[in-house]
Amino acid sequence: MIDLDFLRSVEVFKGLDDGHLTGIRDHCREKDFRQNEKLFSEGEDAACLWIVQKGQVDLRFDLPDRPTSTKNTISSIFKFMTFGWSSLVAPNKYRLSAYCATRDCKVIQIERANLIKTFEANSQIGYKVMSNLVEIIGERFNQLQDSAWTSSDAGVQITVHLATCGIVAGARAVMSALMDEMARADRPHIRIKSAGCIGKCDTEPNVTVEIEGADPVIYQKMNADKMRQVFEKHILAGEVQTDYALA
Amino acid sequence: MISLDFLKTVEIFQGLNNEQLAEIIKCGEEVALQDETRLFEKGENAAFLWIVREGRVDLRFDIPGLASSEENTLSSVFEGGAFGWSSIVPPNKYRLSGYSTGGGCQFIKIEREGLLTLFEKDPDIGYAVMSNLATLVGARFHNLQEEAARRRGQDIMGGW
Repeated sequence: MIDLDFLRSVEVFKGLDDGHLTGIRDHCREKDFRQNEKLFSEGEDAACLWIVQKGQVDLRFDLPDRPTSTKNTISSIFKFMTFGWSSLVAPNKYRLSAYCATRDCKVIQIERANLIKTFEANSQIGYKVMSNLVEIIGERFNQLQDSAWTSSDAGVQITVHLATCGIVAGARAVMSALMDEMARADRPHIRIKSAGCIGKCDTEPNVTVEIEGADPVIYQKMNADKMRQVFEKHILAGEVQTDYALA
Repeated sequence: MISLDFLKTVEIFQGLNNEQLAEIIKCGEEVALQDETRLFEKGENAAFLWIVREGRVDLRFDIPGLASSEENTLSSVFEGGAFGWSSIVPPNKYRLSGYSTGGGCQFIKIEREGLLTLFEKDPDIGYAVMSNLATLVGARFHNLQEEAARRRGQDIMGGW
């Protein structure tokens, strides 16, 4: 039996009283999964809302003929967090696949049909849950917008600041040029990252280069050509391009 | 006077009956604005939910110290579309600035406090509007997520 204390802490049930939570608990089903086991697949009918009780669930995109890996993870879901919210939002299809990312994980599954029935019988529950859901989607939207596109391995790290201000100033073209250079150079140890704003919107697009053993360098007002030059001269040859560095 | 027939066409009010829409009307007012008028600024307290009645609104990321321009537009909302949904979602701050565009713009602005009080009083309205809003915000989230997955997939297929 699921503890009401646990349900009280679940983000999507915030603000519901014990009577409401007891009604929802009747529809909860606990399930266990082992590492890399798939909970659901991208494109499937989103029949259930899910909550993590223990462990971590990764939401990943699948690539044809390739095994799943953490590189395909778009977001990770932890205790008290909800996933599979497409079940409550038209067209009710899962948009990513869900995998158990820890040695084991325990999740709660609630069928959409039961939830909708509960909401329709008591619209106060429906109003609160849907309000929480809009808040959760809004937060994840902002996080995804600020920190998407991450790539692999260590050693050298290049961060393109892809917050909204950076994108407006042309950061996507900078990222695109960097990707081209990476593909051409075949240096898999270099780590590419995107991150949010560094608080210097007027010098965007900004790019931070971190090389082990050296101070980080922030480049300002970047464009595709400058990015290619920084990659060739600084990353590959070790010469900081002071003309473009933030003073 | 806000038209009931128009409100019936507004995406986030789908499923509401005439009586419920009449309650929404009590919280709103129509405003006509000149082209390139700023409706609200990024970071401002999001006190109103807005609906485009005529014309369109551009949602822009304004860079401090620089004049706003169409180049800063991240998305546009057209007749019947809602924007400024941060007003009913904590922390209730506008994430972008809104500018009227297209000439002869008319909007309906609905006061947050009135709307939230109405939702509490009649949760049927709150449930319907929040469900519609979840669909709207969810669709925008999924578009962004697909773009992130597409880019990441390209990275992996590129072999690094």
